Amino acid sequence: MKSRGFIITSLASVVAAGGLGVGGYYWSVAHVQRWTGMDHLGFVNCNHCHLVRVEKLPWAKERPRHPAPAGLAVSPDGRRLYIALDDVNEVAEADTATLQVNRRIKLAGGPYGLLAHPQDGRLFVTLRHADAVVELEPGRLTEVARIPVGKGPVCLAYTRTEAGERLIVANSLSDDASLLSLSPLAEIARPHTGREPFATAMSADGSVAFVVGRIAETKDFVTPAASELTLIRAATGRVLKRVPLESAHLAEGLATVASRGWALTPLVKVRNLIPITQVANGWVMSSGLGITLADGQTVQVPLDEANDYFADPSGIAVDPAGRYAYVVSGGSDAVSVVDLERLSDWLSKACELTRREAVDDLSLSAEYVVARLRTGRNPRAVTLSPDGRRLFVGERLADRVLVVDTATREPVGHVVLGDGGAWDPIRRGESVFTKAAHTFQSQFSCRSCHPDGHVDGLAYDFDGDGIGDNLLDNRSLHGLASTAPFKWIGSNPSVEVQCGPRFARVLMRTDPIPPDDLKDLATYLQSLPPTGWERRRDLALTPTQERGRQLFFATTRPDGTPIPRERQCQTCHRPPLFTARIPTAVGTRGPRDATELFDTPHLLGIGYSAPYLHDGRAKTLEELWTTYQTNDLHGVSSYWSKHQLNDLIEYLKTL
Amino acid sequence: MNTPKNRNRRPEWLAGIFLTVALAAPAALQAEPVVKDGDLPMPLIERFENFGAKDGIPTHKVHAVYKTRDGHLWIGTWDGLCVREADGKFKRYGPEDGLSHKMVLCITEDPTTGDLWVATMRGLNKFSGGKFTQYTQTNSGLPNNVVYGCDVLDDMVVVATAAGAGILNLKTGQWRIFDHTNSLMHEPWCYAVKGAKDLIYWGIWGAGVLEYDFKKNTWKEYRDPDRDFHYDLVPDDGLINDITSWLSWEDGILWQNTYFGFTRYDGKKFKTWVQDQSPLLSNFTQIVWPHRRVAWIGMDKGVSVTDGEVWVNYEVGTDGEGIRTIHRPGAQPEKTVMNTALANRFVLGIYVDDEEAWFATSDGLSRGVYANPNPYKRLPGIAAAP
Amino acid sequence: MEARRLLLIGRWLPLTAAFAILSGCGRARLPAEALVFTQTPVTSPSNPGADTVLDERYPPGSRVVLLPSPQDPERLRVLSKGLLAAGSPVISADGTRVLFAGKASARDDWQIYEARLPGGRPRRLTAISGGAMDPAVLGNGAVVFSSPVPPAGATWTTTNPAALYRLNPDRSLLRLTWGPAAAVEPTVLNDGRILFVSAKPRGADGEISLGLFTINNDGTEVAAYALDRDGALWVHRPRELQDGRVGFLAATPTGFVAEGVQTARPFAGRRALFPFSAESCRSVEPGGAGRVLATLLPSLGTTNRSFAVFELAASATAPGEPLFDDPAWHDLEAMRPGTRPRPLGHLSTMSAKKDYGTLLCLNVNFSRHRQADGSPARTATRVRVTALDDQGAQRVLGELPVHPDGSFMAELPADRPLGFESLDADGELIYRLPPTIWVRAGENRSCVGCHEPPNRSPRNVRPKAVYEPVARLRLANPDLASTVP
Repeated sequence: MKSRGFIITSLASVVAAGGLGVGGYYWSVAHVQRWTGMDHLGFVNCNHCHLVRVEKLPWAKERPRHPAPAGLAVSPDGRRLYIALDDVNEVAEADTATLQVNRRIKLAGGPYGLLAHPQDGRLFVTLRHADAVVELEPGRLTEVARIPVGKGPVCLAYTRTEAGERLIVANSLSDDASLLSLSPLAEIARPHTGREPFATAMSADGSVAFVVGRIAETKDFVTPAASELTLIRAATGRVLKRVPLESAHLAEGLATVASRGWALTPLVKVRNLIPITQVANGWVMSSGLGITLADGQTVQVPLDEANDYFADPSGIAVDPAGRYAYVVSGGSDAVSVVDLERLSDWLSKACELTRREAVDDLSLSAEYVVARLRTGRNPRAVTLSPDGRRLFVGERLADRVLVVDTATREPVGHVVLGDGGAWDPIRRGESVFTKAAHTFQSQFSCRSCHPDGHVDGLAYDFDGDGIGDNLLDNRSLHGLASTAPFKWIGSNPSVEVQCGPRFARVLMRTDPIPPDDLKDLATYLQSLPPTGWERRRDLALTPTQERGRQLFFATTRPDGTPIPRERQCQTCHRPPLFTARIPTAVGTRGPRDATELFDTPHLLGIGYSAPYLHDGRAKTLEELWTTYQTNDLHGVSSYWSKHQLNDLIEYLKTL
Repeated sequence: MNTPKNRNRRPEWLAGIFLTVALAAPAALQAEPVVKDGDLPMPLIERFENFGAKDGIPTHKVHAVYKTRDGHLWIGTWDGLCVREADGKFKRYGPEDGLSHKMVLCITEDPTTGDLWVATMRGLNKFSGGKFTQYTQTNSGLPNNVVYGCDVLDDMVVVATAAGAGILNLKTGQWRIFDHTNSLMHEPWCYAVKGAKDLIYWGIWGAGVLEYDFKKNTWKEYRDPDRDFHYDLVPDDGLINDITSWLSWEDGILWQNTYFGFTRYDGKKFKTWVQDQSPLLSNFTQIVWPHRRVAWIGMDKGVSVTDGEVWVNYEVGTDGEGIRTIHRPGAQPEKTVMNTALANRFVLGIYVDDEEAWFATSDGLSRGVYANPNPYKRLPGIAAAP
Repeated sequence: MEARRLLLIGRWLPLTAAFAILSGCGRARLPAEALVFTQTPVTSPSNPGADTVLDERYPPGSRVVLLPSPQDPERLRVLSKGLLAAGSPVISADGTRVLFAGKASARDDWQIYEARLPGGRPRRLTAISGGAMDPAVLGNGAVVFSSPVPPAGATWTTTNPAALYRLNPDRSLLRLTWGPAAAVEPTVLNDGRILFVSAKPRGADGEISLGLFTINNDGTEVAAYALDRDGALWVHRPRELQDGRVGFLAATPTGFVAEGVQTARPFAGRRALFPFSAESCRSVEPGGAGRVLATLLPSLGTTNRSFAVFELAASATAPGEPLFDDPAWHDLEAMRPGTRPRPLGHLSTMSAKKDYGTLLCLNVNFSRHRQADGSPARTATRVRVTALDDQGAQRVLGELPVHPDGSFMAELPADRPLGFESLDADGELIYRLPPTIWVRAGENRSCVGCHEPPNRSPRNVRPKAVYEPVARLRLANPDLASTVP
């Protein structure tokens, strides 16, 4: 009797549970269809629209910090090395002879770029998150002056002009440069530069400031993108010339060669217009060196070799004699030593055609690259001692600075700042992210297309789904936690799948990333906050932004006509992540697209991730509702005035 | 140079002298004697040099002219933006170079960065370091693509468009736009804009002039008190007319062009002129360029230059000759026939500085060569505001 | 009960441990100076009855050996025990296996064998008709080899040329190369590609000229690697060294010399591997710390007339003393066991659902032969595509128009030799590539140009061909007449 009762009860429970389950399933489908207005949707997890709390996301939580070297500067007497440690808000001072850290001072705001005054050794530091430049007196390293500049300052250079001393600061987030006078420390001008200016240098005579942009500016999908080298009159801030670095981007370093009148910038030759059918022969990208000659002409030459690549070139330093340039490759953990004499010799013999095609000749670098020095993980910044005898290379993911004897090209030791953070999965993941060894011949790393996890502003043609079909805009990885699925058609349910074997097959063209590394990579990516998150999150909305917010959440037109649920912004772009993670048709299917349904991107940091739409056709946010709006399919906007559109844009920029 | 008439009868030899002088007078009139302009509050143009197709200007219609601080001369034409090169020829930039539209209406310069801002019939352009950046109503916050005027004030670019006014913050990239829905404008057709220290002036077609204090976010409207379209019923009581075709501001003085006369406002008092009651050549005024408190006015009949008291007009005679007339208060007009003339009487754009004056006309570009070098320097003092 | 269980385990424990040790699971690591190499008898330098090239190369008695320490020849161990002849050893990346070509008896074909290190009985891996030779090992343990073994002296003239195959860990077999000429002597590069020797299309003089080529591990992306225009006639045994070079043997009238090209610019700078000259060299392999292991016959004048093992720095001006030399044997093909860099893998892009691959050429008019301003000497407006049918006859698949930017794209039958002829507006031939390359099923293949300068990366220009529907060319009806251009 007892067992029979048990069986009956169990059966009844199972039936009840089954009924509940089935009922719940149909209820949830009806619920989703009702509240989205999309009848084609089936079962959707509740957490697409509910239960997401920003504070629970990985990027919203405090993460381990590491003394990763950013900018480097050497005192005029060569005895002290200064190291900016942006992640821990410190500046370290080390003895160049003993390689010991003398002291570390706290400096809030993300110290990133460093410069030591060539005469008196005053230290100027850019605060990347605080949007300021501070002056530290060299004795006690105390702050003596501070000046607000543009957003995200990362690099600065010094010169003396007929009008006084000047600093030029690259403001990576506001796409401009700040020209400062030193006495007093004040901003004289803020000329626009290329997108994401990342490096600065001064001409030998001090009259011209160079600023190079990291991200290329694109026009359409047939015109090669080009980063910009901006030439600015150092005395006044007048823009002299904007030099497009033809078909090149990710320029993160600049140096001038006084004796030759050259400006050198490492760059990446991306080949995004060509279907990615292979990686060999620099098919996806290759690294090079842009040379702006004294007569204003530019020539690009390769840094890579025919069967080996030196991915993610960034910092560059030139010795005082102008004989050697040292270019770091963050993805390949190497420093390339370029003999400028041999390079000059080659240039003098090269005809116009040879110069024009030089950067595509992968066998050319053997003419002038005389050595490749191995470094620790992810070298980014580099500087030389004033006498040129010591090369200092910041190994960003090893928490130390490599010191090299330039005469022997042998390492003499390290300035150790930390333990390298191998215990931290986020750190390990960043190491995977920046390592080019995961791709064929180490041609590129994840970072090569996603600098600092963000966008490169380009669209690509992957061949996996047909040559010439389904062009794909490069999406930012910032803030991607809990925004699965991934890929523009939403077919990859997780970061691990997105970066897993398929990616290895169609892009990396090697083995998949090993499982443990893949897990760390996913951890790292999910730790990336939305771009500029720290700046915006506590700010109250202005009246303009509030009007835009109301427009975003509007459920009716001004005349009271209801806006269909499936066309309301908040349906697909549901807060707090501003995505319901449901593939949707917004009328943007192109003639070569296989589908009209595209994954709904989250909108956090959207103001920084141009261009837009799945193939990057919209260059600005405005174009989403002007040029590329079709029949109100991407939200009902036909009743908007220009005021309202502008208000909405201002609101979106606050996300 | 005028010869005073001798009304008294004299002996025959004197009559002979008189006859000789009388016969010589026309010749003297037609010559271009040295101009004594030391007492004038503005330079005198002694001759015009004209430029057109032979110099590389792509079209006859020139709308705007501007000289940048580095000495380059830019013109906006019906068919492109042009710059005068070292050899004197004009190099053209068009849509194929990145300009948003070939019809250029206004040019101005950011004095700090040297960026050129170019208003066209389809968008605003920044020309900087050899590169164009387009701002249109579809890719930016620009209120409307038909941009009639633009100016740079501190960190702002201000525009006047066919559907409202706009301010672009160059540091933040944010646009603020104004029309009849959020300002004192009752129609949004803005024809001109000028920055004036802490204020911005917009000239509105049919709505006079709007003054905007951008720090306080307050507006002030200037209208024609007469509310009469055609007549200046009460002179100097306010703007001459609400149909503002252009405006400019300099050194505390606002100048307004209309199709029905001309206005000067010094912040306290208005002064208006119409053609029949003043030396103003024509009521159909197109453009004004103030320099050292002297207004250079372009019209359909030539150019008038005035400090509010003294006028110098430059016309094109029926035979194409240049006619210069000086109007001093209480004196007879001093008319001179010049050997050269403006390229065309219909003047659409003006640029003036201490060295020279340039005129954009319906049929070419003209350069006015001053009679004396550095004319402004010789002036003991600029005519003070009343 | 528990005690009985423990006793049983305890009884078998020593045996288990012994088995583990003997099988290598708990093997002792080989010392760093250990060598694996081939020994061929000095006393029978030639094999008059040699049927195949391997019989010629490895006469009976040839063996593959392990020498744990060159200073202790007594410890030499034969890894090919029981085989009539063996040679061409290669070591897996994890250092646990040696693979080599071996022949069980005079009537057997040469096949691929493996033996576990430090010493195990050889185990036959292949049983392919015609025999197998030249093993190489991919990063995932799959074995690449060449088959069939050509008749002696006929590698490049036989009507049944050797091709490369891949033997997967699950014993499935995949043919990798599909060219008309033999593909032999593969080696696996660190980047995962397979480097091999094959013949270039014969020139007008009909002479055979060999070069180095690469493919991915699935046979895709066949490409020339080196020795394209610098006169190399006969080359053997390419190997990637650790000093930025690929070394190989180049034939001379008296034997072979060691040469190399820089991986940085493989089509330029071909030169002798060593500053000194040896009478002959039979192999080069990466040594320790950037050095090169070479098996050399020192120059005439020495009493020693057998090949010996040398380890040399790249700058060595003389061979010096051999690392090992047994006068009774020619000591050849020496290499170091132990863990070596594992070559990268490559996930195949092939598709079993397709019988074609797609070829995209970015600019058929981009070639080595250009005018001073870079414009082509003659402009191609059409491309004729040819292929070899199953009987080896050349057939025309079709002609394609070339887009104004020189690009064209076509779907082409997979796994057969393909050729291309660029034609000018008058239909006159500009360049011809006889059927030489291939595409694999589902492969998307691209070229920068046609006879373009080597090691060129493409310009970042969108090819117009991708905007048009892709042309589909298939092998014509075999009843149609073939064409001989």
